[in-house]
Amino acid sequence: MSNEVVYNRIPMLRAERGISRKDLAAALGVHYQTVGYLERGEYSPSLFLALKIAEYFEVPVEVVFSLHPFARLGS
Amino acid sequence: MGTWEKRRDRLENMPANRLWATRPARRRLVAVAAAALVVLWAGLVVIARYAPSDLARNVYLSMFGISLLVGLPVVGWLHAATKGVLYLPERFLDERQLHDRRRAFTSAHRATSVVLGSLFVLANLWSYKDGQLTLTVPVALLAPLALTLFVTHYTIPLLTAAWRVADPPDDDDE
Repeated sequence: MSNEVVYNRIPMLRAERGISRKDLAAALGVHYQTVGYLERGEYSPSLFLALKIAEYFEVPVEVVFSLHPFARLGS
Repeated sequence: MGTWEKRRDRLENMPANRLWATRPARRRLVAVAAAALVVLWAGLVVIARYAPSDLARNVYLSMFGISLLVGLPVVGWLHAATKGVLYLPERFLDERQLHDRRRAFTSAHRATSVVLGSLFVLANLWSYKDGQLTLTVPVALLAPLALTLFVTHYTIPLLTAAWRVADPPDDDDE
């Protein structure tokens, strides 16, 4: 299980839209620390939560989550 | 706001939470709780060895008192340190917290099985003392044994969850 890393762009999307962790957590109905653990890659969300996050940011789920590290901007 | 919401908010905002914000500090707290539990078990040995006697009663009650005085606040702090993962009803937990809760219960089930298995082995060894199968068990042992098993059953999932919980993310972030 520990090798099953899911990379995500939640911090970038949050920063881009000026949304705090607590606001995102409230919108998703999760504990605010869960958003922090997701961002740190210490928790991989269920498919349901992943889809809710993508829906919240109005982007396809693969824009937020990937099995491979995201390319850095400008690279 | 309902009773559980108030309890959740109280847990989240306990002033002592800052003291247990790091993993080493939480693990020290777990060690203190485990020590209180060991004292409770050691009290049973005193009863088994010396009851019925005033000595057994006085020593056991002293050990029980120490365990209670130390254990009660520590259990409260551990519930706060784990954000009520094992204290709050499931409807107040999100999927990560439910995952942590189930993981703690699974590990605790194994640990409790080991405790009960060890108790069974010890009881048998005690029975065979001096080559005899007969055994005189002090009646005074029954209630404390039931209490100790209950406390162990209640506490081990909490100790497991508190031992594992990762450091919380920074609050920062606006």
